[in-house]
Order: sequence, then C-alpha cells, then structure tokens
Amino acid sequence: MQSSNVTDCTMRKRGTKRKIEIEKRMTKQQRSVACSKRRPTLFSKAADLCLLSGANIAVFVTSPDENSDVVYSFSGYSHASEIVDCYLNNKSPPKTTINPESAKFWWEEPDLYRDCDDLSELRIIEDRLMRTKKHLMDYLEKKEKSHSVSKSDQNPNNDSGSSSSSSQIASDFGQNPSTLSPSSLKIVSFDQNSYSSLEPSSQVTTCFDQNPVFSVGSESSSDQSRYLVNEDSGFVDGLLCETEEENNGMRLPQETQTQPMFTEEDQSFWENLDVDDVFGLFKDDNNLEVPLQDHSSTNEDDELLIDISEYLSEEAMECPCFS
Amino acid sequence: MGRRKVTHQLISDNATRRVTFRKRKDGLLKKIYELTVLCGLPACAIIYSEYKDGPELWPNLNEVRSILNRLSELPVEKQTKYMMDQKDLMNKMIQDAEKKLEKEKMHTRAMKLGLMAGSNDLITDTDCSEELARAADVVDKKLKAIRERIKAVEAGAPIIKRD
Repeated sequence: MQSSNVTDCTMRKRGTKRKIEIEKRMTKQQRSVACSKRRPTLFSKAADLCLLSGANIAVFVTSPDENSDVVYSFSGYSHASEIVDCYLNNKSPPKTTINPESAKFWWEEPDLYRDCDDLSELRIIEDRLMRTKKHLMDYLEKKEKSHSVSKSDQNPNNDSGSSSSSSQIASDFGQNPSTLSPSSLKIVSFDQNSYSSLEPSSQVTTCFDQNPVFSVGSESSSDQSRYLVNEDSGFVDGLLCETEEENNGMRLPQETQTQPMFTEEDQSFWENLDVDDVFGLFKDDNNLEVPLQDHSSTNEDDELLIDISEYLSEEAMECPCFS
Repeated sequence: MGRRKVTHQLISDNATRRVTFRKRKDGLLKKIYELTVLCGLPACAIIYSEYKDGPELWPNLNEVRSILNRLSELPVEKQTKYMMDQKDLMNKMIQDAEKKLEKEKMHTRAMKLGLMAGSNDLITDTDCSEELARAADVVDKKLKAIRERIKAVEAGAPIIKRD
C-alpha cells in the first residue's frame, strides 16, 4: 500500500523535474522510445562541446533493435570516418583552425592561396569564388527586383507625374514642352543676406511670392526656397516657384547663387577701423580702402524698363491718379 | 537565479576553455552511459583534444574496437546514412523548428478564424487575408453542400432529422 502511495505522489508531480532510476527499460518499446528521445540530445551536447572547446569528437550509438545493423554517429569538425581512420592508423586528426577574434568568411582568409602551388587547387578556389560571387549577385538582383516591385506598388503614377509636371511648367512658360531646354532655366536659392544685398542693377530677374519664405543663412541650400529663374534678360513674363518633384521631373541643373552681406573689401574695411573711430569720421577720404560703388542704372537695365502707358487703356489714363 | 546565456562560439580564454571542456566532457560521457544503461545498447566515444596527445576513448578500448568493426562491416550507404556532423545537426534543428513554427501558425490561424466567426467581423478584419481566403473557401464548400441538399429535398429526398 505504501508503495502505491509513493507512485501516486510521483505521478501527481507533473511540472517538477524528478530523477529517474538509471536501469534498463523492461519492454522493447520503452527502450526504443528512450533511445530515439535521448539520441538527439546526446548529439547536440557533443556539438556544443565541439563548438565551445574546439575538440574533435566522434560518438557512435548502435540501434536498440538486435537484428538491425544501424550505427548512428555524430562527429564535430571532421567527418566521423576521418576520425575513425585517424584512430585506427594512430594519426592525429586535422587541427581545427578557428580564431574567435577573426571569425570571417572563408574567402576573407589571408592565406587562402599564398602557400598553394598546385594549379588544380587554385582553379578549384577560383571556381568556388566565382560561384560565391554569382550567388551573391543573384541574391542582390532578387532583392532589387523585390524592392522595385514594392515601390511600383506603392506609387504606380510616378512616371506619369513627372511628365505632366514638365508639361505644366512648359505651359506656364508659354512654350512647347519639346522646345523647352534645360539650359535656358536656372535654379537660384536665396537666403536673407542675399536678399538684402541684391541691388537693382543685378542682371538676374526673379519672381517672388507675396509672402516668400526665406531660410537662415546657416542652413543648407537644399532646405532653402527655390525659385525658377530665366537667364535671358528679355524673358520676364512667366516665372514660377518650383517644387522638388517638378525638379526631378524636369531634371534641371540646380545652381545655388548666394551673395554674402559684405564683400571681402567691406569686411577688411570694418576690421581695420579703430575702436575709438567707429565710423571713420576722423580719417581722410583717401584712407578708405573700399571704392564707392556706382549704383546708377546701365544701358542693360534701361532695356528691361517697360513703359506702362502702352498697357493702360485710355480710361485708365484719364483717371486723376495718373495725371 | 537564472543561468547565464552561453554564446555558441569557440571560447577565446584558454583557462575557461579548458574548464568548460572538462565539465562538458564529463556531462557528455554521463549522458552516453545513461543511454547505454536505459536502452541496453553499446555506444562509444572518441575524443581528440588539445589537452591530451592521443585520443580519449569511452568506455574502453575493446568496446570501441567492437563498435568500429561493426560499423566497418556495414555497406557504405548504411554507414553514411546515419552519420551526422555539425552542419547536418544544424539543418535538422532548423527543420524541427520550422515544423514547430508551422504547427503554431496553424493553431493561431484556427484561433483567429474562431474569433472572427464568433464576432461576425469577417469583412472589417483586413489584416489576415490568408485566413479570410480560407474562410471563404470553407463557406463556399458549405454553400455548395447546402444547395445540393436543397435540390435533393426539392426533388423529393427524405429529410433526416437529428436530435
């Protein structure tokens, strides 16, 4: 009775680990089950030992069936047959050359072909390298294809958008899209300094919004607001602000023209001033290093001036504000 | 107190590697001994290490010789069929893990379908399209069966009443 109670107690304890008595199983089925369950564990333990300590191990386990002629074997770095040959012939097995600090790919091994004099071996190495390269290229191509497919799925109207944007720009300029040459257009980005230092005599014609956004001078030119500008001085009609997508569609060469607040001469002038004489009142005029700039309009500027009266109607001319 | 997770790579420190080798070797040989006793079958191990010049044999030289003789008597196909090395073991482990994962996936699919069917929320749930496709197949099959039954009943087949 007492023994039955003990077995009941052990049967109740399902979750906890309990030690089993190491003795031969009675039935054939129990033996085969124990063998098939424990064999993989044994081999995995052997694999761990090989991996951690660099030892060469061969484990041989026969089948539990008496009549079957099966021997299960596991080996570490070398093949089981190699280890058996080494043992039978009293030879040492090949050394395991694994350096944990520099665990690299086989083709990164520095002594891959230096000590090799055999042409056939070199050919084999070359063949392996070629195959590896091919595999890598195939894998990369597959990845690229999958990326391109996913991108095309995300924005299928991408190509049509670029062409439409270019035609829209052309229509804004009053030109045919085919005749619109990228060389006639220029992207100019302005910061605060350049805007303040622009003179009326400058040849670049610009078109600003009513409330333009100007970025601080320290920011990069890509973040600054871009304006489409024509190089020809006679072409003043249609100028528009352009977005980045339209830039990509047009494939225009982007140039950034930023003019500093002061020229080098101006800076040297301000640096050379004494602290007492801040505005240079007590110095002669000939000491001034910076020549005075002539801001008078040139002939080129006169060409740009338009007579407004041509465009005004007679009724507008009669209006007292124009008289 | 939990155990430290061991990184599975060659231990760089010589002293640590030696200690690990000794402890794990003892554990491995104990496992082999348990297997031989429990199943009543002969087994052996040959261990080459950097700490001994020759091989270490378990359990003894005669046992190893007899098993190796038995192995050499087998045809080459049978010899190599059950031979495993590190790579084969890894592949086997990967296959087992994949099987386990597939089982778990099937289980979760069944649970999802059960939840969806219970809540009548089949259309709004767009995350699991595969499950929805499977559910649609099941529904189609059921519909076909019902329509066939309707036709049969209309033709005059007897209606089977179930308690």
